Amino acid sequence: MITPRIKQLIILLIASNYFACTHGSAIAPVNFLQPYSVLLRPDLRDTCSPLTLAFYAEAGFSSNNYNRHNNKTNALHIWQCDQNTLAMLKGFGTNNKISQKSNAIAANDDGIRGHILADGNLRVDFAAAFSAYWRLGNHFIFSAHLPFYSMRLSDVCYQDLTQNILPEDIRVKELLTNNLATNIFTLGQGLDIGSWRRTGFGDITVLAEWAADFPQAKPMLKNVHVALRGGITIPTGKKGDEDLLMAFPFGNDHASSILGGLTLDLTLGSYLRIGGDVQLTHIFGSTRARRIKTDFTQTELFLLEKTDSYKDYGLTQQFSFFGECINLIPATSILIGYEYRKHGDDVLSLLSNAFSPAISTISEKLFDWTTHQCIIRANFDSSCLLGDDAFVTPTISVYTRLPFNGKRSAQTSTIGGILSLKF
Amino acid sequence: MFFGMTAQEGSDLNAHSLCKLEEHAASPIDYAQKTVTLNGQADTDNPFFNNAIEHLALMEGVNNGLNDTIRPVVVTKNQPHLVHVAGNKGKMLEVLSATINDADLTTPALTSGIIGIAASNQFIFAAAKPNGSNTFGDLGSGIGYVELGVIAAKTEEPTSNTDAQKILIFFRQLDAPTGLSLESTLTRSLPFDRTTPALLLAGQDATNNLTALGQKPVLHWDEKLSRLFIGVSTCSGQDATAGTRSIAVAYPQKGIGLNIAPIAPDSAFNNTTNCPVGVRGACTYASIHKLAVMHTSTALSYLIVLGDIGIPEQTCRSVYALPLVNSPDAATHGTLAAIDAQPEDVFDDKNKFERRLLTHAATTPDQLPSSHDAAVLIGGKTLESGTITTIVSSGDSVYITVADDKTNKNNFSGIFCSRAIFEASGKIKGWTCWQRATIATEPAIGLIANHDTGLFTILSHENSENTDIQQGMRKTEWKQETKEEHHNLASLITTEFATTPGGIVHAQDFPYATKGLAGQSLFIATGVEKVVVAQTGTKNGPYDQPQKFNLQTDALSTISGGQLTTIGAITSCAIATDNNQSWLIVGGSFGATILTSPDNSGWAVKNAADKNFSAIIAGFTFKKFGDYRAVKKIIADDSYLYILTDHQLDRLAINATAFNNGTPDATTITDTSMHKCERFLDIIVSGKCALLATNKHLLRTANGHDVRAAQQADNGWVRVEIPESVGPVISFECITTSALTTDFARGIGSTIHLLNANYATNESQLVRFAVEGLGEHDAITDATICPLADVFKKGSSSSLICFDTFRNVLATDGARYLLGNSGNNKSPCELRILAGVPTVRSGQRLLGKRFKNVLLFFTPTASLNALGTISASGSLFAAGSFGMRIHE
Repeated sequence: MITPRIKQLIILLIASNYFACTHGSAIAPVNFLQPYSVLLRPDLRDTCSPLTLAFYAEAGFSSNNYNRHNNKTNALHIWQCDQNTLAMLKGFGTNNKISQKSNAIAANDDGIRGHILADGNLRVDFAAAFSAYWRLGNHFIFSAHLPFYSMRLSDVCYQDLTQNILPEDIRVKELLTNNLATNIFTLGQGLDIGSWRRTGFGDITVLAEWAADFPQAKPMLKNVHVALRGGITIPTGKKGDEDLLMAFPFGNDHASSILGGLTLDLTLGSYLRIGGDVQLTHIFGSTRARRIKTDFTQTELFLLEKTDSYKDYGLTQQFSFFGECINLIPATSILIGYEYRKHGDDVLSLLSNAFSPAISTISEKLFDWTTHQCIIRANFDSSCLLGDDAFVTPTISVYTRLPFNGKRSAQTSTIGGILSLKF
Repeated sequence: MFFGMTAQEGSDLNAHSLCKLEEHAASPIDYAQKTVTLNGQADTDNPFFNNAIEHLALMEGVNNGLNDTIRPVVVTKNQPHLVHVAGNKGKMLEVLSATINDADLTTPALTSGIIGIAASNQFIFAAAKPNGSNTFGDLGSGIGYVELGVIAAKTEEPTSNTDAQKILIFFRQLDAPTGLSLESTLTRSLPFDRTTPALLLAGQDATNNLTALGQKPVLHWDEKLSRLFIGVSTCSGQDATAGTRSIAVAYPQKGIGLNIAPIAPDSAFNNTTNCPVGVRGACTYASIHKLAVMHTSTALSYLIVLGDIGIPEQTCRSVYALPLVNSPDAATHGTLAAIDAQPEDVFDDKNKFERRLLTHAATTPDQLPSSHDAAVLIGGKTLESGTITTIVSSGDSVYITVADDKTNKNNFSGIFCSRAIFEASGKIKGWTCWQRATIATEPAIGLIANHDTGLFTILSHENSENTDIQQGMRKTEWKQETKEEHHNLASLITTEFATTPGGIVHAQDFPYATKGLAGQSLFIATGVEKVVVAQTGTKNGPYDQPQKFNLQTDALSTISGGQLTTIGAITSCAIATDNNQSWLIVGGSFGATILTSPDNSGWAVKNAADKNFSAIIAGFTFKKFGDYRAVKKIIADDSYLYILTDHQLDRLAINATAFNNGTPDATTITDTSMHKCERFLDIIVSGKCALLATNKHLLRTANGHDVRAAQQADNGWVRVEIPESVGPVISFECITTSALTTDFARGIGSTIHLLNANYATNESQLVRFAVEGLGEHDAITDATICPLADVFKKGSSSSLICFDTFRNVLATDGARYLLGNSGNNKSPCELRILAGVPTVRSGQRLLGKRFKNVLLFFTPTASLNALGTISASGSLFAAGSFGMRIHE
């Protein structure tokens, strides 16, 4: 039975989250490694170590991408299944060179003319993170987390669906799609539609956490662990590159955020622990040059116009549930968890009147996205071997993250390990 | 629409003598029911029941007394001294009647008969014969003046509810000379007889009264001008220095009554004038059969007259357009304007265009419009056969119905149309030749142009005994399954291209006046590696008049295979001739080919007349010539062939040996690199002048240059600034006297419509230019091509119409504005028509949203590639990936 004090804590936490808003790690629709995730972070409950350091490393081994209908698809199809190069030329001024190109082509979109099927392999090749935890008293923990990512878009290829029958078809090919990359680079202010590899740090996250155990004298329920956390991110992450396809930011795209979360887990008997975690992140809006739609019919990959805009980010919600088998084999545990992230709709406001805000706001990539992933982690705690008076007690974990569903998201299956050192 | 009928003796049709047929209604509404409320008395015998309708007019406008906004005004056979107006009051039909007195100024009496009526939204005008005489024109003849109005009267039992006021309708003849409402025994019509000064041209002899006045006066009220035009056939008096005018202008003036003025002053007429509405000379006839008023899109007004100087029987083939003074403040408002008067634009206090005025009336013979003037004679000439029975003015077009002797082998019956050609100031400078407006060839007695739908309703069966009115009426519509008259042309061509990728890529009509066709007319549709040629008609016997649609089954030639397979989608075609031989030349994505006999010759022009085209080209094959790619347009003009590709313009000389070796001598006149553009979009050529559209600019042949002799090094092109341009010009439409695009800079010149459109910005607009005709020795100057006087804001030219979105095809006939676009992702393929015309006018360009869909159903991704008119039938066609549809 949950005591009244625990109830108060839960209510307090939920109320605080209402005001503290959300988000996990980044605003990109990618399941980036999040070192402070409740499913990956070191277990600090049974230790009195004032300092714990954790090192994460993981490698991606397959990509799992989902479109708006939650169907698995290629990474370059998460927003649209094909890209419209004729629509790409619309919405510019009368005497703009892009309009002149459009009028030179003078071809209507019959559903396939000017449409491009783009394929590519987008994945996080490698991710690492460093976390440091400082314990202050019995209930307070301060932590800082710095992730590092290496991501690439590879094997990019384009298939022009335009036929070669009608004059319009031929014009589209000759004037546009036969030299698609060059044309887009020239007209699109340097938009490169080829492959890329990007490496860099993510945002630093600083958290303060209050945690407490409430032992229960029950036949089954032995302990209730409650943790309440809050923090900020510092925009140290690599920004998104608007001149590359799907080159997402590694953090919040130079925007700060605040986050809050609550973890509640229950120890049942001697070998089982179950729990859940809620985390909400609010990202502060930011202004920067972004690619925008200039016509309703445009598709997301080939946006030629880059202009200053203010983006008001949607709320990011993250829910995790887990079950952990503990001490079935001494010093080891196995955790199976599920993590769900949802990022709400973003709103874009243009800083100029040159283009229609009504059009630029109706963009697939501004709409909500979700990720679903399963995390399996095995831990080995060496304290049983080294004794309680050891200067440092390492804990080794191996894990895998397996995305299995989502919406408008590009996810990577990874396998990795964690070394945590408790001093 | 309302129908008034007179049945033959013994027929019971008179029981339904007046009826109304509404759009989409299954059956007409009978206005000749046995009893109605007559002059406020319920269940009274209906004056229309079992009565023949002699005269019918419509009174339009809101009137609180009668609910209908359009009310029939009727004179019946049995009560020729009464004028009736009918309308619904509540749910009941109410008929109001008024007696008409003659114009005896001292002792007015009931007229012996009304022989013509017209109605404004408040008044009715009736041409009345004198009491005791059956001859209109005798003393006492006049114009009756009837008012329909309402007054509010309190009910007998007043209540606190002010709505209880009763609306009383009055319908009465006013005393025309004074405008007062007098007792019926004192009420007079306005004298209109053989002594009326407005009809007389004073001479030296005092006895210059007209010797005769026609018995079929024509009354036409124009609401915009607020003028009543009274036309009547007249014969001048015995005095050779006197004369007659056949039209007078009347206007009601509050508190004064009805006034009558001459259409032009005496001083404007002398013995040498050729004005169709007035003449000096002894016993000379001037005849008027029909009148209408045209309010042009350039905001000027013209009186359209069927009639001429001469006896009535010989003047039914000429229609004239006479400029009118349209300055409401001027005493001469509604009279003939001086032919050299220049329009004056009037702007409001925000500098927005308000109206255009012609203020100078014709006062001297030099200023009087002449029937020989190209600006005056509609259709460019008098018809050679047939009788014009109806004229309808709509937009910038005049439609006529022609009845001809059915036994005549070259029967010329049908509906024809002529369009105004404007000079830069907005005045009419000429007219297109008469062209068929619909495929109907039966003698028509009535024509209604529905501007909301673009459809025509044609009333025929003048002598039909059929009591079903709808069987005597034909409504045009858009069809794929064409009726017998089109010999299934649309479905035949659609079938030919059903399996061809992209369907019909290009479709073009070649009227009978096309050089090299010897009086034949062709319709050519092209697609991927395929050409279908339909011979749609031949010249109308000995007459140089529009021929009749006459598609023979074996006159459809489908040509494919051979070297056509090497040029891909065929985008353009032309008939080229050296006057001895003619060739069909087509161009496509990967080249150009010419249709020749095995010995490389074309068909002999002299043998082409009266033969089936399929027989003429039997054994001919297409042979590729030159090394062209992406051919956009081919034009044959004079002895030159112009080939426009995406990137260059070539000129080839046409002669018997030019294409013998497959590599004719071609001169590249210009290319895209010279104009820093990416692509050429369209071109028109006429003699020495060419207009070339690129994706950036509109170019014309430079001053002093001649496209027939141009060399690339000359760089003889200059930019033409498009008013308020939204992008490039994507197509041209030329309104020329001959209906041939290649005559746009010949003769009197032309009006050119430019479809100025921008794919990228999703905009389009219709811009007009006036082109001056160039003689062989005339040089091109800055004045050769000028924007037409379409003005929105003071100080700058504008487009005529801004469309709401991008459109890629446009067709107009002066009255109807059709435009369409191919399916484009989320915007479907559609064909639209401007509804609510005629209000297309300078200064009212924001009409885009008034275009409404023509009821044609295309797949969303269909391409609409061609829109135009089949000259032999006058029917509009639309062609594209869906095949072909015809409006018939």
